Amino acid sequence: MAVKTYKLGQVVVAGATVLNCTNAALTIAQEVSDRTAIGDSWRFLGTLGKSWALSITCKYDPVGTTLTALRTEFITGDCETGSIKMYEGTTTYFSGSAAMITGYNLTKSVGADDEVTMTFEGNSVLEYTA
Amino acid sequence: MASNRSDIMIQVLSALAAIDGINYVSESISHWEELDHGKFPALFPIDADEIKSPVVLFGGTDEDMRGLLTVIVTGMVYDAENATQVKRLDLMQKIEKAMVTTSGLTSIIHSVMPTRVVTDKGALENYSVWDQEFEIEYWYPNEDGG
Repeated sequence: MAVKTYKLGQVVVAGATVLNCTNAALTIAQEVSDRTAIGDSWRFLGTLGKSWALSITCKYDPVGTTLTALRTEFITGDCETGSIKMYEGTTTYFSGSAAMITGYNLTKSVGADDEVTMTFEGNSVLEYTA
Repeated sequence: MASNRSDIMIQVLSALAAIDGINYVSESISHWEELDHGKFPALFPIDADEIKSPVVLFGGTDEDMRGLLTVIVTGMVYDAENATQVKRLDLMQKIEKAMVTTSGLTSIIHSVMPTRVVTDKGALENYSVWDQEFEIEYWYPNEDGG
């Protein structure tokens, strides 16, 4: 059984590890077209492009190098990142060569660590390295 | 700021020993009536229960475990003329201040929070004895132990 609980989840953006991640969610989607003929009882689909998106939540370190770079890129840059890797084991990972930062949400709460959630939309082919 | 229980207690002892007017600090608690009067005011810190849990995903960060360590500081004052209340209240404040502001301690932990005070409620003649509890949060690498 290879089901993993909480342990491994390193996220690397442009070669730099995003530290203190508490959550990482990769979404891979397939766009489809509907080619069901009028009057058919069942739906038939055709394939269009695939897409991927990554959402990560991490403890907010205002002076952390990687977080600072991403914040600067999102606020003052063109929101484009280099490669993104999302590890699902010690050596196995999903990766794409480019992505766009599409969201940057900072949360502060009484009695809790400050957290930042960032979302990325893939701007490249997604690959899996086993 | 990776830390562990041992390093934290060394800093707690150091912070308490630096409080103005303290005559004795030890992790080996004594009964107040068996303690030499010259050792009052005395403080007895002890590392108590601890809750541990993963705080971030493993792999991307060195410090991926969180320890919530309860430290209990037992304070004892003595006054032959029953002026223990003034001494007790003054010392309570100094203990809390020392625990939350001493840089030797705060620099190796994530946070320290005073959580509870339990007193003898005036039951002891000439003495006052009380506990002050603190919750110390620190992070450490899972492979190192805390």
